[in-house]
Amino acid sequence: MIKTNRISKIFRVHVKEPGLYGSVKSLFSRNWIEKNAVHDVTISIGEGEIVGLVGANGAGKTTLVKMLSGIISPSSGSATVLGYNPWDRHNDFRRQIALIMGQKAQLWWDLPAEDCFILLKEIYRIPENTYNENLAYLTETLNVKDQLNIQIRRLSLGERMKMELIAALLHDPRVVFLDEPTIGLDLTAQRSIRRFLLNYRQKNRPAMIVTSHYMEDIEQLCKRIIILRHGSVVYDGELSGVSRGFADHRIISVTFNDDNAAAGLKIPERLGTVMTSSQGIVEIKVRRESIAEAASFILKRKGVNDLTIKEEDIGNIIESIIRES
Amino acid sequence: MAVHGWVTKVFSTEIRKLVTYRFDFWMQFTVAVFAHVSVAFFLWKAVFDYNNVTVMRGYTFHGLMLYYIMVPMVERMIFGAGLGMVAREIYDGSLTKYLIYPVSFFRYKYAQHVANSLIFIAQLFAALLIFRAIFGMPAESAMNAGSIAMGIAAIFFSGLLCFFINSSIELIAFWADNVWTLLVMVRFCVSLLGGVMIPLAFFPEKWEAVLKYLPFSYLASFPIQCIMGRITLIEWAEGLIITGAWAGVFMIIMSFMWDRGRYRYTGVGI
Amino acid sequence: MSRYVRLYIYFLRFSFSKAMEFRLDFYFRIVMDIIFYGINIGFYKLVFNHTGLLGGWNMDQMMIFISGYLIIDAINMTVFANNLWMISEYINKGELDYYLIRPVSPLFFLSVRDFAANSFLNLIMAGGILTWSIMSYPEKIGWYMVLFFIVMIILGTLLRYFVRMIFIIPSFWAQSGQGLEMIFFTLNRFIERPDRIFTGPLRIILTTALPFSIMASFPARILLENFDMLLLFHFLAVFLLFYFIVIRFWRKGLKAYSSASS
Repeated sequence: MIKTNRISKIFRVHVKEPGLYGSVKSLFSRNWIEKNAVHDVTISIGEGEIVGLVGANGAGKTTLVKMLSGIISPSSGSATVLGYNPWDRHNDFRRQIALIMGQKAQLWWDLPAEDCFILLKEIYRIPENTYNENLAYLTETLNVKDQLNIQIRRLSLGERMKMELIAALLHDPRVVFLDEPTIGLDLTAQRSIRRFLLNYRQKNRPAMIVTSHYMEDIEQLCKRIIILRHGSVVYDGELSGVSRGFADHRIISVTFNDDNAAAGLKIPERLGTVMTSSQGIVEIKVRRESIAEAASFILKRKGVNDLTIKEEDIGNIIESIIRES
Repeated sequence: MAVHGWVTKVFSTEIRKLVTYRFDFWMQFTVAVFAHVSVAFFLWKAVFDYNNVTVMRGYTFHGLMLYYIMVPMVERMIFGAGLGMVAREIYDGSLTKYLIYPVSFFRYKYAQHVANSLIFIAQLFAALLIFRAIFGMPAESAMNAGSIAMGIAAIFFSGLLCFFINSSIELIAFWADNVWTLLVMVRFCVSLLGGVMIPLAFFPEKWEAVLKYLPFSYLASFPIQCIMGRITLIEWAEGLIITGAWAGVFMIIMSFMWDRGRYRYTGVGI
Repeated sequence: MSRYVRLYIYFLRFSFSKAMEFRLDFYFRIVMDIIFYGINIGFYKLVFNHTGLLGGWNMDQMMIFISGYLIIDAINMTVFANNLWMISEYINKGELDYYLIRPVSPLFFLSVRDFAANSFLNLIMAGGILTWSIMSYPEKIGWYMVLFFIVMIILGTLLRYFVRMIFIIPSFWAQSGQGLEMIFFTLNRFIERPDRIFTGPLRIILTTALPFSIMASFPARILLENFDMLLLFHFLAVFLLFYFIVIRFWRKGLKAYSSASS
């Protein structure tokens, strides 16, 4: 459904020296540097799959999404989405995709949401029945029926994002790109959008690519993730596989009879480090190969009530992969 | 007004903006002067040729061209740069940032306005010198250091008047969404009744007498007449008094509206 | 094609219902345009106090020319103006993204989406001025000639739109296209003067490369003077040329957008 073959994007960025002198100088000669936004990315995403695209700021997520949706063209490499070359921007291609960018509004600010939707209905040639059904389903599940006649610019950020989602999904797209769909929203709004997306996916099963800064979005929505670092793919696989591939630590959590015993616990540096210690519970980060040794070391202490070994939090693992330079 | 640190800051920022980020603006302004003058040149050439005379209403063709060259520059000095800026700030909510600055909003805006004008004085002089070098001074011109000083003084009075008029109008934005139409109306009125399109001397005499007491001519024609030495000292004093009186009227309107409007301000989209 | 017509009907509908919301703005605009018409007619009245002919026309003929360019202005204000203001800003801020993913022409959408219903009345007023100036014209003008004049004025409006676009499209490459757009507005005043007062190289430029002088003047000359085939041919040739330039240039711009933006 989505296939890329060594797709790359290089930008020329104009660097200006600071201050007055710099701006005058830049009128006459400019220094350009080349920036590899996306580098040799080869991925393949199947029908109905939902994939999280993760990376730090500037890792190339948005650029990749924009290439796949046809907004920008790559410097090299090729891609097919739904059998089309995206940046040919064929009408049949554009009718089957949707793009939602949390940081950019697609709806016209001066119109009420419903008017925007009617325009989209015309643009995408959505049949009357489908339009009514979809609109009813979407407004119902997102709970924005009462806001349909209010100018977009007067809606709250959360309501606006919901309208953006409706606008993008009215035409039953087979591929949906979601770029930071929950950015800037409060927790309630984030949660309801996440819930909606899960619900929508079960019902319609489009292929989805989601990028987000919030690990919660990714963890709840995606089975598979692709991690980008400096434009290159560093991981592509199951979300749960991340810990197997990358987590070289585990967490041992120990419960003591009393606080004093907990506070008195000293771990040799070779085995691991204490992360938190409070109310008799101590969490220790231990290297994978030292787990057995560390566990038996701890069990020999006095006052140990309970001991569990946990995987490190996936969010933290991904975070550390992204940050690594 | 005491020269606070922020005043210098505003000046240097405005000047920087004009010289660097607005490089395109300078080019645009040159084209504007060129278009304005060439339209006038060909129009009046046709009129002078038709009548086959050398002087009309006290203007030689030569003098008329000098008038038209000064018009866009003087107008620019008086009107400043930010047409509709305050209104936009009210509309999109960015007015908030000024409300929390520890300086008076209007002093801040006026400092911006004056800074913008100052740059154009240099340009006006340059244009006058170039005109003199290439075409010489027109026969009827009585331009000298004194008349130029009178003109500059008039420009500052007019700038203040314009600032109060525009601010009063922009503050309507507290109540109505689009006030740029009103600002444009003022520009339209000034362009005909203020002598931008055609010097007031070409109006019927009765009209000229009435226009003298309206604010429009003080936003374009009057300072130019001063610079060109077509105004006596008494007429000059009279003109400044009229300008000042109108400025006072609009200042009162402005502060009244500001007091009323500020409480209505909701800061959309904060 | 019919989809575009239907879309346009929606634009009209939304715009009229929006205009009802901003009642005050509606009146402001009417007053503004009345003043605009007043100063234009007033200016020529003043000039004709001091001359009998301008650019080969007397005041009666001038009135028809004036109503021609007022109609150009009114159509532009209702159909295009609100939209064209925004395009270069959209380009510079990268907000064309959403227009590119839709199965509809971005140029169409960006150029005519926001119809200014609150300027619509001005179109009627400008039409009224035209009717009045034709009625009070000393000679009788056949209705087919008036119709022909109106068609040419509409083409003149489109030509103005093409030229305007040529001043907007460079925003795809420049960091800020605002200055260039302002240049367009200063040159715009050449539309409002009869073409024949301009002579020499400026005249050549104004009738070819920057065809401001032909948008309103040529239709008026064809209506008021002996029918000149060459003049009509000149007008249509420039019109078609600019049409093709805009289409090509816009495509080039979009290409630059998709290879340069991030």
